[in-house]
Amino acid sequence: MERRSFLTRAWKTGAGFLAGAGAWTSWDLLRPRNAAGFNAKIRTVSPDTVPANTVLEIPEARAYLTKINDEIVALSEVCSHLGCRVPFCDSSGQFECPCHGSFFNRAGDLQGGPAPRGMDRFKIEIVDGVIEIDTAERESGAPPGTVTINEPPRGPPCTEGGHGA
Amino acid sequence: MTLMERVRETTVGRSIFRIPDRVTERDKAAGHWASFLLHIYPVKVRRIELTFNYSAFLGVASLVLFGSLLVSGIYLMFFYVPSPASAYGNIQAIQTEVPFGQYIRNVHRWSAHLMVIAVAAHMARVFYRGAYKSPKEFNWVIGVLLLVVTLLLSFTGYLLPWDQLAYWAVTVGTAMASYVPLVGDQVKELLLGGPSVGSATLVRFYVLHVAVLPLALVGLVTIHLWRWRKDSMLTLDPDKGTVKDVRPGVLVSTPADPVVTNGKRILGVVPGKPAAGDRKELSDDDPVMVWPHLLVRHAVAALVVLFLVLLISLSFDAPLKEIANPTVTPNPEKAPWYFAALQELLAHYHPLVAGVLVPTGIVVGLMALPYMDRNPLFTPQARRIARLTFTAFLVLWIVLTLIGFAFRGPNWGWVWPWVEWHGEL
Repeated sequence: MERRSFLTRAWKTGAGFLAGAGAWTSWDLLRPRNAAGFNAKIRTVSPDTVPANTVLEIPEARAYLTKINDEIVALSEVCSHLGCRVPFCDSSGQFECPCHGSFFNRAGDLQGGPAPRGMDRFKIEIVDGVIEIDTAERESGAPPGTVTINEPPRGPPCTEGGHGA
Repeated sequence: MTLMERVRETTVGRSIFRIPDRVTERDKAAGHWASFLLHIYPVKVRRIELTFNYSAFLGVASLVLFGSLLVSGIYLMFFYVPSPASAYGNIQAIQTEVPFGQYIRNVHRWSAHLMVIAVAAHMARVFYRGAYKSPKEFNWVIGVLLLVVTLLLSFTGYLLPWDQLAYWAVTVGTAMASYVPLVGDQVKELLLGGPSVGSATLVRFYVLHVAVLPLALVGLVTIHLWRWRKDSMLTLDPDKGTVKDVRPGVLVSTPADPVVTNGKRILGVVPGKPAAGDRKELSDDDPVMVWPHLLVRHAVAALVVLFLVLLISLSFDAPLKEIANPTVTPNPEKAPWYFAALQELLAHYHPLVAGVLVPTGIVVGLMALPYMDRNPLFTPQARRIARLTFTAFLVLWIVLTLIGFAFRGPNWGWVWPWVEWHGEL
């Protein structure tokens, strides 16, 4: 190899390494660490207080507790579509997302709208008679078409005002 | 002798202006190529480029609005700390305690909206003129990047007031990134600085908004203007390059530069035909001096734009909703109007399609446009298909934007705009 082409190749390789190092440093520098307070285990309520016909909101965990077929589940209140908070509508007995109109039944099964899957669930554990929601252990929602419970809307939807409008 | 001429003749003036004496055409042109500020302009442009119909002065309007945003933004920075604990209160203080604070915030907000409109309209005007064609293909690509940076600037600024409007629009906007295949979640977390919008997000968006993106925009604008200067000189007809000083419509004979006859320069007045030629009507393609003809028109356009900003800012206050609340999503939750079309699509299609493929397709498609359109002709008659396709997309996008902005209410249901809900700017 000629001296000139060797030097050219050498400085280009060097510049490439420098760019790579810069990208790696920036990535590592800006990559988020786990935020405090979230991704944590959150102690909530006694299993007896979880309702079977409606939901109980646990704001610290950004989750709802409810009983589905005698089993307690914790549903993430963050919409599986684009991250809006999904409120529970008492009159229809369903979750209705205000952002793009996705709606879910009480078990978090997708009933309609653009969301790609049902509502995500958190792992729960009962420790000393209290439900503990592990917000780090998130299980993706069921695919569309899943029927965990058969609960058609029991009344009109909450399209008018209601949740923080 | 005008005042400026006197100033240029002083010792200090002569040190500032590289060409202090401006007698001949060449001296006047040197006003451009010897001055830093003026050499962003070409020395001459085709006469048609002076007309309103040619450009509607939308490019210069975009630049003026960016200037207005820089100035008003710097004022706002003195009163704003990007932390969830203080941001909202700072904005309230700007509106209520800082003298002219509300006005400055209005100027910033409305200039941002107007800039999005001006940049988009500039792009459409350039398209209909066919001005993306050779040799200007690459400058069109830079223009597409400028549109993207403009939208990103607007979007990052949207979070800073830390109100409900800001918090949820950014929650939805960044959630779209998570649908990018393979790296989506990492990209989203990198943007947010955590799993959801929080204090890290506010700082990140602030840094992007006041430093990274404005620098990127200035860099791209520099290239954009430099290419405009270089490319417009290429479009000048070299055979017409001898045209002298011009008022629109009429060529006026002026003292000629030294003429060479029989190998000798004639420096005195000689009888015979004027060397500059006879009076004649100028055609659209004849070159004219940018200074003063185009410069004066740009100054007027800038004044009109700034006056418009002033008028809107005195008439309408920028919105500020309740403080951001992660536990309550407003209903309806609306994206800023320039993303309303995307939000409408998101309500119908999978987020990978509506949130990732469509926007990427639009940007890549626009960039590829000058390389796909091989038609060398510029006249509207010769560009029927191109114009029809572009118009169809433009109309579709405007209709989707209108639907998303004005016809959607709670739970993204259909509402007539006069009934109840409408979008917030």
